[in-house]
Amino acid sequence: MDAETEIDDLLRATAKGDRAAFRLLYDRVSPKLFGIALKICRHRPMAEDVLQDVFTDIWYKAGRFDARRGEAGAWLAVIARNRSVDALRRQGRGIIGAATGGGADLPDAPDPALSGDGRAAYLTLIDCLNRLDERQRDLILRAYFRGDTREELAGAVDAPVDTVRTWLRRGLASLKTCLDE
Amino acid sequence: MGRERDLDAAERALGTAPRKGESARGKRAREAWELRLAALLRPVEPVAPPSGMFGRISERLAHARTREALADARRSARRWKGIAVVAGLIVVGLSLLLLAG
Repeated sequence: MDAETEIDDLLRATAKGDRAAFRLLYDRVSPKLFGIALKICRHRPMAEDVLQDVFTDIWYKAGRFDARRGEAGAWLAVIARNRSVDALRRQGRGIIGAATGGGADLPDAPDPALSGDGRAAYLTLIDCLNRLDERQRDLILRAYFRGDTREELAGAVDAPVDTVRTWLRRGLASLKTCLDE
Repeated sequence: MGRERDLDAAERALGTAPRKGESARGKRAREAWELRLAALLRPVEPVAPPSGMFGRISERLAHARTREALADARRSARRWKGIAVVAGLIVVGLSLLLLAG
């Protein structure tokens, strides 16, 4: 059984209230989800709170996962990313300190451990992002990895909010066209 | 879905536009974007969480279950209280009818 199928099965069992499956799911995916929370929050205590929120969500929302629409691992990663952004916005970025400076960091080297569909999806997305105008790409990545709002993005690039909105939407439109090719 | 609405969904997935008032169709479009962008998280290195973390999560879920059980009990008590009041009124009504007859 491959890792994705195992996570699928554990999610389905968790949705039925199987606590042993939930524990196994935790063992399988918590390091990855904690890594995501740490990357976005850049503050360990905040990331630990996020991980608790993430697994509380998983317990209650496991039944909503639909394998026809995407991989279980990606679905879980989205929960971790969104919860991390929520925590950043709720608790403020002040506690994170100096580590927040600079642009968003795009993981530029494909991880050799990545394989199969995951590697292909990642490489395609990176390729499409690299085709974007640098400013558009930076805005999308800042919003994704730092949870910056339009207003914060406007402050970061010293441009009006409406202009940032236009750049973002142009970037996303180009990204969609590239991904659909 | 139209181009503009799909871009709205993409912005909601990024978090640069609010989700409030999102339609069911808009939610599906936003979730599709979320899954598409999740590929960016693939290379993120796993980090072992603290050893007591699962216990903390279990404790939190146990508290939540207790709160839900209490809320259910309160709802049930309110429902039975209502039924008792209605039944009491029916008994009083019938008694008055009998006495009048």
